[in-house]
Amino acid sequence: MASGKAKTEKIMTSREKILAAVKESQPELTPLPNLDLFYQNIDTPEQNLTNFISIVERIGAKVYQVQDYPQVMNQLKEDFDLAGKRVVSAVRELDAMVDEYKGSNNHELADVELMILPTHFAVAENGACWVNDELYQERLLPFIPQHLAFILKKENIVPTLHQAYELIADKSYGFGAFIAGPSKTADIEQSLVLGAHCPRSLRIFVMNLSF
Amino acid sequence: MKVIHRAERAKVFNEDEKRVDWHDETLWFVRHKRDIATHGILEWGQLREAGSQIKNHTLSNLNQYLQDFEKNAIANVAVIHWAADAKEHNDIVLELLKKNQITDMVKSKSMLKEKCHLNPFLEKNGIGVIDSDLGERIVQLAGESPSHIVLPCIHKKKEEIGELFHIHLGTPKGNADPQLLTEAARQSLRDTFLTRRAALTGVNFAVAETGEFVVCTNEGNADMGAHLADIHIASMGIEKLIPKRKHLGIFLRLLTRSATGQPITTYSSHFAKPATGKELHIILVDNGRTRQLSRPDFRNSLKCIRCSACFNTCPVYLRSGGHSYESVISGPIGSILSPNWDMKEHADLPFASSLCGSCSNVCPVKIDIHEQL
Amino acid sequence: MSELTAPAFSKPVHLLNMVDDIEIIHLERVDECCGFGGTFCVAEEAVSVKIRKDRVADHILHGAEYITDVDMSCLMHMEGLLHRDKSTLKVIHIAEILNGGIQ
Repeated sequence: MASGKAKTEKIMTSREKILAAVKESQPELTPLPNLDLFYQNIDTPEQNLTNFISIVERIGAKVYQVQDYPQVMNQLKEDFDLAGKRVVSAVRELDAMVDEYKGSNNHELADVELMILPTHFAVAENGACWVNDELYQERLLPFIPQHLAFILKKENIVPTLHQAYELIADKSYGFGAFIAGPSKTADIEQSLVLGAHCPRSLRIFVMNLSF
Repeated sequence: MKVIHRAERAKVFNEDEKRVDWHDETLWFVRHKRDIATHGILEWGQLREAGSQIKNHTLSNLNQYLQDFEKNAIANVAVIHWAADAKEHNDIVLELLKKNQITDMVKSKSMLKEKCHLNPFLEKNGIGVIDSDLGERIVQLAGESPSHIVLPCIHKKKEEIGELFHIHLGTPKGNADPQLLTEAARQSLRDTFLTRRAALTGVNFAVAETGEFVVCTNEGNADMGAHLADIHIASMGIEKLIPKRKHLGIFLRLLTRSATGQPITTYSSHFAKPATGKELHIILVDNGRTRQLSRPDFRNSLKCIRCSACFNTCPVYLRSGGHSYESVISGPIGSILSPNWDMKEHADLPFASSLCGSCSNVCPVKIDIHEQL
Repeated sequence: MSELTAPAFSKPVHLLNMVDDIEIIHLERVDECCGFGGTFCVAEEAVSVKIRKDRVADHILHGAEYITDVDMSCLMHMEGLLHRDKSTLKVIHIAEILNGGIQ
């Protein structure tokens, strides 16, 4: 019988073997916890904005509060010397002012100096903005430029990640990311350096359209 | 006597007391940042409890969740592979590369791949591997292994890294400025990202409900690799699953605060479907995990989310360095994970504890580490 | 337990606060282990000795005159080093303090 058993095991795929071993080994079913308490948050939009700005500044990014798109461009021109540099945007309202990326080989984005992108919403407790491929097909856009600017609508700031996941609970995306601040590393003796592989700086333009 | 090996290595580490003090203080500072971050969350205790219960529940229903994940990932047009052990995992990777005539690839941090000794295996088979996490790149250039799961080269002084970069990347001799060294790595690795057709990444969490997985980095190296390559191969232990997308809210709140004291990593990337014209492969790996699951006293260690908080608080780890454990995952959690992989090889690791219990208290998913030790 | 976010409460400190004429010194690492536990000090002597040394140094740095604890073995562990270094810092069991042992 022993040889018979070995034979059966041999023809089992790894998938079957693993699933069988898991079934055999897993403990008795325990329930999922109730998470209601995490969704009770009474912070006002103003508080969310204040918290968001304070965290964003702590993680090495910068917030500007603006009323319209020309203000965004004026601020960026003030902050950067963009002469001869490539600026790309996926914000429709800015198309008249900058290059628009329409390519299909994303390696062509390697020389982008400044990228200006819309965001879905942001999270006050950690300063992260959520973006996904519903906003722009090319996933590489927020990662490859030297500098990044996000456009965020003022009313789209939620207090914590719990509310954030409520907003995307039933969304279907191919790729999405929370992005909090510029790319960074502290691998060398815990010294913080901004600009590891991705953007060296992040500016977030909080837009107040409801004036 | 096998039992004294770790202790001997720790003794050697302690011969340079200044270095021990530096190692100790550098990592204690990370523990301190963790304290500030967690004390700022009023519901921290409840978050840990929720994280613990979700992981307990997942392990108790893992068979179903693995099948759910597989089904949903396949619906997302990802390709699922199953690997019973390290060899099968490595063979799957090699075959995928060969099939696509790829001879060079870029890899972001993955303790699983480290555990499978993937790099030496691929190199032996003629595949060039470049680690893209700065800390991992540094230990790779030095021909060493990571000494810490989140801060791989925390055992190295910047002067040593400066020398290494002078030799390999041509930075000015004697320059140990972290800013300059990081910039040199950025330039060199950018070229790597732009030329590699395959990217390998680890997985922090995988969601059964949606078939997506999340990779967390501060550098953005996993994204640069994955989005620029034609093929993305992600390897994950079967215990990385969580039931629902909304549970990411619990774990992403816990993970980075526990790890470095940041409120979240710079990038928390959710990969669900391959980009148009590209391939996404997910390898589900057992490699000893089902054995750990079958042991009631030790299955708790499978709840680990690899934050490394227990390293940074452990009075023993702080004063002996990760290499003294001679194991891919060192520190307190490594002392209970590694003996499972090879009981003889790592028989001395559980002795590396003064049983003070600090590891259990910092653990974001409430693993009773010191009791298991 | 400084790792937890619950309000800090230490029974020994609570009791010591009721004793007149003693001042409680706060350490850099309020509750780091002394390194003596179980067979650890035998199996891992070098690390155990280093932990103890750092623990004692933390007390000296903050101007402590006495090290107290509820655990005799921790105290003995640290006393060994104090003796060897001819330190004026003394160890005293908490019961001795609560019984009025400090003259």
